[in-house]
Amino acid sequence: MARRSRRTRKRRGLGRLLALGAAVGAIALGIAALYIVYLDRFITTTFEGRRWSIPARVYAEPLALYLGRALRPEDLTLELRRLGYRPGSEMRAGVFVRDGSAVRFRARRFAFDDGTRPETDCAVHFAGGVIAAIEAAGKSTELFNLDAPLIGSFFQSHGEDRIIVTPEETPRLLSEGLKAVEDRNFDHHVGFDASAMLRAAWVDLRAGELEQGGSTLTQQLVKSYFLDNSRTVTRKLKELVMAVVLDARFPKADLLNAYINEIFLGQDGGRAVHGFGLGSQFYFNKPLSELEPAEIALLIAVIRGPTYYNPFTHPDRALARRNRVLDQMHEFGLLSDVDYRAAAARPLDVATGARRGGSYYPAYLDLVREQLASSYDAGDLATKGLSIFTTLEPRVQDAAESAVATTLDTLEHDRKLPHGELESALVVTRTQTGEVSALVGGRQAGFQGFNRVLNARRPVGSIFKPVVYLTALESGKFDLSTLIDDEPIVVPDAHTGDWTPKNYDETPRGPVPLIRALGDSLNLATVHLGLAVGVDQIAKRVGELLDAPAPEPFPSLLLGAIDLTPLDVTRLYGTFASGGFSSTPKSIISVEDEAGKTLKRYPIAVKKVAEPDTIAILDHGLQAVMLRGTGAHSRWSGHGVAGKTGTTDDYRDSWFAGFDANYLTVVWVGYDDNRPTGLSGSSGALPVWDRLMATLKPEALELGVPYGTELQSIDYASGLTADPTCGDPLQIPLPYNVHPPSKPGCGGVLESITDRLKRWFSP
Amino acid sequence: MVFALSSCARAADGIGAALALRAMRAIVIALLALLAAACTTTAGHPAKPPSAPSPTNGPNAPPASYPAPPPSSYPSPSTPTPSAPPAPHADPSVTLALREQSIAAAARGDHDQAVALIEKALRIEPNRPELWIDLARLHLDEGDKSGAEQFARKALLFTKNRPDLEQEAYTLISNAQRLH
Repeated sequence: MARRSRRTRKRRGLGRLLALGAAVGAIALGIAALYIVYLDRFITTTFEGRRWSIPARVYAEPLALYLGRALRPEDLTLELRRLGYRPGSEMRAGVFVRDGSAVRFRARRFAFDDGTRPETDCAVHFAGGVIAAIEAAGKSTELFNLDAPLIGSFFQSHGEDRIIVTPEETPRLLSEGLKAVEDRNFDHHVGFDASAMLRAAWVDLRAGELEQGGSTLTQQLVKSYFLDNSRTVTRKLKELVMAVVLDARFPKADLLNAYINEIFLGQDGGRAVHGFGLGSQFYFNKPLSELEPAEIALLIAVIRGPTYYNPFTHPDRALARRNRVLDQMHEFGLLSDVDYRAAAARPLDVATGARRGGSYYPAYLDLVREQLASSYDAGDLATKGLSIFTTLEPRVQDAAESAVATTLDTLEHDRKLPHGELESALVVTRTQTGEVSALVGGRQAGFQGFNRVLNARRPVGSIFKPVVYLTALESGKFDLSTLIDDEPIVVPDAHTGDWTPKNYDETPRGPVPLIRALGDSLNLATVHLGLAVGVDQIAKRVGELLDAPAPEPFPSLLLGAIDLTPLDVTRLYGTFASGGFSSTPKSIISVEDEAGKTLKRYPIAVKKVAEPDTIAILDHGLQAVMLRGTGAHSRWSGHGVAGKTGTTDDYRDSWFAGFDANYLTVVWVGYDDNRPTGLSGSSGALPVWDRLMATLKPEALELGVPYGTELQSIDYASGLTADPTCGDPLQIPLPYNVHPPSKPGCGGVLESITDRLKRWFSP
Repeated sequence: MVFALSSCARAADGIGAALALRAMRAIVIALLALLAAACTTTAGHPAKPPSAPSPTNGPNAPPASYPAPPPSSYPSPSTPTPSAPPAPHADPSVTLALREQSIAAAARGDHDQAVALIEKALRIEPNRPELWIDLARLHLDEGDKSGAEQFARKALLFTKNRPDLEQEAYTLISNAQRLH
């Protein structure tokens, strides 16, 4: 009995224990269930409402192919290559073929600022160095735009960048290949795969290398999307649970698409490359839909270790792993024997240098960002998937970058200056619209650093002088032949004591015509002229031309004692290069949202700030700079271009501003720490422009004959009437009533107009 | 009127205007070609056509044509050396096509697009006065008088050989000023 009762008691005790256990278990289960419910809600809401932060993408101006455009077939194929098009015989998107005097290609679908162009077959026929005919989609057309090149995106520092792809844009080989390599049971498992985990653990133990992951695609997605990078058991458990929840809640196809857009594929300086859409651009410079099997295999290969298998830095490792991926694809029946062998024999073929994921022009992007700042904050730019269309012309930008780099190297070499220390800034704008075509913020153009175009305020020196001459011409008291005293002068100044300016060579020239005072950049004559016009008048005029408050009217302003950025100088010269119209140098055409709806346009705006006829007279003077004056050694002297050099005290800043009919360029060369370079405007900055114009091909200005003037043949040095037999004349516009006396030794008889006409029309 | 875009029957006007424009363009091109031929016969003087008299010139206006002396007698380097053949320019049909599209956009009320198309043409032919006149007109239609006036003044830079367009630009300026 006793035994029995003890047994009974024991049983009763066990029962209690069990009940307790059950209760605890139930509570634990309840907690677990609650936690799962919580995770479920968290995951479901987060994932359903998922919006990847997509940085704003910035596009350059598309190359316009139009009838009559000077372009050779090889120029077009070069542009196509830059856009990631490739030669081929089988016509599909992104492929071109050179066909005698024509180039045929299939243009990709592209969302322009004014609508989306579908994939289009295009043929461009060339004749006589120009485009003679264009066919698009079987119809002849006058104009066809290539895709706008991507020039960068506004990701936050160390932020993610990605290009979202839809399931339709995803090649089947990629989705199936991912499963074959990363997660063979993806279509069937419940979020995790126990057998794969065991297998991975076993392989890890044996080999100790990064070959087997064991994590399902779902787990990897969870890890990347929801969790941080810590490696703890609880985190692993959480990952497991979340994967199961995610798998239960969402279709496999959604999960796979999310994975394809989420996964980290490499680091590009300050931005993290996420997703296969951007991965494809970053590694191969073309859209995902155009990848070849070997290229898809490389992207899959990189997932396991974007640093370890980085194809740029570890090509051997990357190639070996890519080929193992190809093996698995082949084994899985995703590649035929023939395709497999062909793919395995391919080199890595990754995109090189600056072209990765769209060429990067950080300095230009600075200007775009600055001009956007009033409407969009950094958060909007980094997350909202905006498209920004700009006026950057890659052809001009590349020529400008290389002109800067090459010229600085040459200058340092020729002048035995320390290597790599000279710096430069350069801006190119279209003369009539003020649109910025190129911007170089420093010598290393691809490097995000101090942007000298926007931020370096430097004394401008003689590059300022045209403002003095313009104000003088506007006063009506001076013309290009007016004699100005180039004589020593002492200017009393209450603030700084007496000022005794000197010419750069310390030699006064005596009386010189106004055109030569400008052309030879004579300081003494300029000061005499400026004082006669009135320094306050000139200060006021600068303010108007810069759309800024007038500077203090110190006499030294006459010689450019004012600090301006290269962009300010661009604005100043924009008026001279456009016939008297000022416009803010502008970089943006329009901003669109993710859906392609235009949010904001930035139309061209011009404002007349000077009389076109007076500007034309000034421009004759600026042409004389290039023909006879400080710019005469330019290789484009005599090509109808205009310009002005500038040098500051002790050769600290070397400036040049030059323009032809199409482009205005402002160049600065100097040291960041402001020490002397020994370079004048004409020996430092001008050669940069010279080199740039070799690509841009200067087109002569058409200044015409300003109203109220006639062209007269005037000796540059003396300002006297002369002809080529007795002097060094230029054809300059002078008022009808001004007829300088003949230069001694010249005939003194002006050829009559009828004689000239006769000669002009005689054979 | 070469390019009327103000009345209610915009589309119809637009097509008529475009046709008139084509005819006009053909004449102007022919004239320019003649001029160019004349210039090239005088030893390839770089393009700087003598300016035609402006109708606003008074009695002191310069002679109708005041060509620079032929540069053949000039030793280099004093004059611009005729460089390689001048850069070929867009075929006139390019700008015409864009202007027609702009007219169509304006007719369906898409002002922004109409402006954007003209800007596109300006990137190809910045010196074509019609385009600046188009911008002036489009801005005037939207009530932007000061913008309209500025664009019309800009057009005047390029109307030296086009008295018809000069007239049009002045009309736009006075309309813009009247509406101020």
